[in-house]
Amino acid sequence: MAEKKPPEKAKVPLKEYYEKVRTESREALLRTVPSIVLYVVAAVLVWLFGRLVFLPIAEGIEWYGYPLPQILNFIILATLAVLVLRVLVDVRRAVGAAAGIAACEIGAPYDVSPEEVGHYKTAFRGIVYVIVVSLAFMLFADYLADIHPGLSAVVLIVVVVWAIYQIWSSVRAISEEIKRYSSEWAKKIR
Amino acid sequence: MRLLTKITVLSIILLADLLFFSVLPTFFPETFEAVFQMTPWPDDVEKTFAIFFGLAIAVLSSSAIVYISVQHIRKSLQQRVAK
Repeated sequence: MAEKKPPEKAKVPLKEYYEKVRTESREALLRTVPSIVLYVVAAVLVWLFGRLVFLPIAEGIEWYGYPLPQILNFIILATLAVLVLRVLVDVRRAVGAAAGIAACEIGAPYDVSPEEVGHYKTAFRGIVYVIVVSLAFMLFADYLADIHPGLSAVVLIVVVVWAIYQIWSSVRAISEEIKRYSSEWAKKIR
Repeated sequence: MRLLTKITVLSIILLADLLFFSVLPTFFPETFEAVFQMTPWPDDVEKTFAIFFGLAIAVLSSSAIVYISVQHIRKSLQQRVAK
């Protein structure tokens, strides 16, 4: 008795996958970019109002024995942390979408594989995350220094080490893509 | 409510808030102190609550302005993409 073969996985045609990635990426980008703008502007405004308006007038005021500037610093820091986290979540989605579009635009027409999209995602994510976290650190630095002068330096060291790792993984993903393109090019030459 | 009316109302709230907390203590400190001395509670507690409310109003009103503008841009972008 012949054994039953396991059903083959239905292969998604290249053109269908290309169209799916392209449409989904465009929709995701349209959804996420406005909310990124909103949260970034809100974070900058919290920073500006806190530093320029409310912290100066809170100087010298004590609330049940606790200095008000430090309480305000903590509240602003917590608000900034929540806003930056939201930005990072949306940036992750936007980067995924941008990577999908990049894979569709840069590669040959209708020749997009999930692996290629993954490489672009890793590369884009690394670069964008480093930029976003560096900018977020600039928002946090003053408030962290107000809590403790050493805190800002410790966070900066952590950010630098993490940024080096992110850039290294981005470069590795890009080099994988370059390797793939060059091997395809070499095959054509033969 | 129309878009322009919403933005105008929110801008007026933001402007009034910033004028009270930024201009008054800098250029008219006596008036600023007098506002808090008029009420029967200790000045520090009043000032603390005023600062918290002021910060919340400033952040909420400015975020609302940005939110309304972003929603408007998003709608017009979607309409352009649909065309």
